[in-house]
Amino acid sequence: MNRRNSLRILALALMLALMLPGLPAASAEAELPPIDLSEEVHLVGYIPGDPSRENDEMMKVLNAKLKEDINTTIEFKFLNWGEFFEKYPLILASGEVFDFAYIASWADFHAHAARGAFADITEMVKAYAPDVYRIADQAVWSATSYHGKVYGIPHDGLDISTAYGFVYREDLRKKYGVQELVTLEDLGDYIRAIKKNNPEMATAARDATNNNLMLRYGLRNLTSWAFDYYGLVYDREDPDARLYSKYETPEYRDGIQLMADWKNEGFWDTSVMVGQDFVNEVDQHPFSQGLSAFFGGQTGDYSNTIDFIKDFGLDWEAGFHWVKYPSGHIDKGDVLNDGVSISATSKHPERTLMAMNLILTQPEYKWLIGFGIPEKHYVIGEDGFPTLPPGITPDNAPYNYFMHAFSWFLYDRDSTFPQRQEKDAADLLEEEMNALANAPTLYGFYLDTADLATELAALNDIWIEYEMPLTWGFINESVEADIANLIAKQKAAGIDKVREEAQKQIDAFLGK
Amino acid sequence: MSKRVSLVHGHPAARSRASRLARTHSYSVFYAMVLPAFAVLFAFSYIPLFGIIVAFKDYNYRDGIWGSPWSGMKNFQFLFRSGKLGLLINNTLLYNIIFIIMGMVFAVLLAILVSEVRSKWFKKIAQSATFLPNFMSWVIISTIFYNMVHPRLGVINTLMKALGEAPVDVYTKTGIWYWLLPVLRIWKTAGFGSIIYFAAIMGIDQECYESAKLDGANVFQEIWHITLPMLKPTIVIVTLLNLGGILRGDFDMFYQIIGNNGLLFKSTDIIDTYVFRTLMRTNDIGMSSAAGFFQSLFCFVFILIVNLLVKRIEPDYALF
Repeated sequence: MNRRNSLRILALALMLALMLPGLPAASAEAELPPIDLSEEVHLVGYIPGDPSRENDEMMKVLNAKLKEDINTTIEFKFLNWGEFFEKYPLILASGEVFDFAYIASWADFHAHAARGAFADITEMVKAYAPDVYRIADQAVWSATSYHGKVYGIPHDGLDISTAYGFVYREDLRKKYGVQELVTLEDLGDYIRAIKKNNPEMATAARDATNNNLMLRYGLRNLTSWAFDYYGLVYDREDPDARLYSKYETPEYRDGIQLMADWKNEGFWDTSVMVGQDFVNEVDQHPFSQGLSAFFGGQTGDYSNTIDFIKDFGLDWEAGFHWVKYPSGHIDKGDVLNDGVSISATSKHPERTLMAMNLILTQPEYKWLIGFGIPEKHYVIGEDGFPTLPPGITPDNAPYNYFMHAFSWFLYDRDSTFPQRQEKDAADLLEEEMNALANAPTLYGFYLDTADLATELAALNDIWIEYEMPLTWGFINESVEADIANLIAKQKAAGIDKVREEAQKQIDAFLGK
Repeated sequence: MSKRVSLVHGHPAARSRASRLARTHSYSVFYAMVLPAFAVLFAFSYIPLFGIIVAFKDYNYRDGIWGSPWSGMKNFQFLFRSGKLGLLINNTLLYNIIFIIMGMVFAVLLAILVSEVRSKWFKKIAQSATFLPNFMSWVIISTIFYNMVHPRLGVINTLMKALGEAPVDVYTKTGIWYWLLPVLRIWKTAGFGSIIYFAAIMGIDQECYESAKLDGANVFQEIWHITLPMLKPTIVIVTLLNLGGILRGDFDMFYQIIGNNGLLFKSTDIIDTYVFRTLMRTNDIGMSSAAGFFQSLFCFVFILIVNLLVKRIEPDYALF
């Protein structure tokens, strides 16, 4: 979700942008009739996050342009992260009349599409959003399809791949003579050293349910698990993608044992289960204040931390610990990390598509959404890279380029925005990761859960009640007995039915 | 109650149409006064009853409530398939019974204590202090509570360590929550709950107390023989009303204080938190309606039975 870094590598093309005229949309190449633009239309849509302080100013400029080009104005309604996962499904389910909504696989796009939340744009997108259709990698359209119909605009398929990992204090690692962090055990040594020398620092604190980074990302150097749906995994290079339960593997057992050892060493206490310490966005704060030894995140978080240290002149050094699969690869970014759908209740799907076409593909619009109003919200620095005007720091910037959800998936980023000349460690790391990224067998596959509702409800409960404590090393009887108990509970809840159904869909996806 | 009303107004058995109209007319002001309350009840309690059909439908956004296809009892399956229903009903009932009984005891106690206090300013302060927690949301209470019992940094455990005792980690102990949750609940609600009893006490005829004093009764005898018997109808009615929600857990409280801490579910999982947890990600409106309907049905049957029992024993105290 935190895509700062994806955006940081955007660079200047203002000159280019000014030279290119805003292309009117709706070229008449498709069979559908060109739309009558005489009526003025106001579009409303929902996106996650909070607006920048001067988002409204940017919107005024954006709407003036939209009005001129397609006689349309647009309104973004922001859904605060704290309530996003509760409000978003309700808005879609309520039948409220609005025009578009941000979509993503992690926001359950396919479940909502299956229930009829979005308009079928299979034909319309070609006619009214031709640039989107042309630029987007053809493969990504399958990601926003359900039963053969397209229900959303995906990103263009050029998304950046980053591995999850941990931002930690490289200076402290060196100071205490800990070896370079390569494996999970190395991380353990680092935590141990911190505990010994800086006992006041927190060594793990994270919302237990959502962000169980310790195990989810920590075992990557041991296993090639992919999919991971309530423990159902396949080896990511397996061409047949045969599913099995990760709970029955020795690697899982060893991982839990390691977590139990760490927990017993006092690396964390039960507060991780209560999830009130440092939740979600505020994760970075205790780290920035020197109160925690590391926090989980992506390269964007690493990049922020580097900037933070520079801005405040701290004598720290940040490091990023991440792990690859045994094959040396990391996962290619999800096909549907970002996207936008037209609401089934929209009165103006054609006009909405035209607006999306402009916003996502036309440089003038892209720069506006991405960086704000020129000279006011950004200036072009000496290196040709857009930077904040003098006297403004990232903390008080009136327009923050990562705050607007649409800026996360603006199309054809690489050719619109030249690369920044001077790269920092996070940029280099990201390049390294992108070179390592490859797609697992089931890249672009999403499970259709329509017939599994009863089973999934029970499995979700079991996941929270039994697996969450395990992955934080809270052992009831013994590691083996607790895992056996988890497996038994899952069986009773119908995991076998889920596995059969999933395998059937997978076989169909692989064309068998 | 109805008996008393008819005694006062002395309507004879003559039930001609004309007299009924006349009676309606003579009560027209009262009917007008009832109307807003009835409108609210109708809008928020009767109209939503139609929503029950969602529990029997495979709800999708496009077809809406009426158009979605019927799915029979499919939405109810998850409750029974989980194998947890017994534990959930058990916990929900247990906590609610504790809350109702202890809540009543403390509210009555508080009301009596406050009514016996003679100092006016202390009375005011005591009432405000006990009243205040009612206006705090569980979110805030859970944060305060968390900071008190935090296993490492909490106030209580810091104190325990300073006294040389072993710290207590309440977030791994299941049994202790049967005590902690009622304590929190009573702290929050007793003050507010005492208002109705306090009002009832104020309504007791002072002559009763005066004659008791003449007979040489002390304060405790007055409370035992006058206040409590006079409070009995109020206590019974309030308790009956509370029993109507016997299978509805206080979701705010349980979710804010316990959250998704699986270590404690054995003793803290109630139907409401279970339903929220299981359906949070699947967004299945049909299934959550099914759970709500199940709870309502259970509560409805329960209150009917209890009311029937009360009617047998003491017909005047029955709700209907």
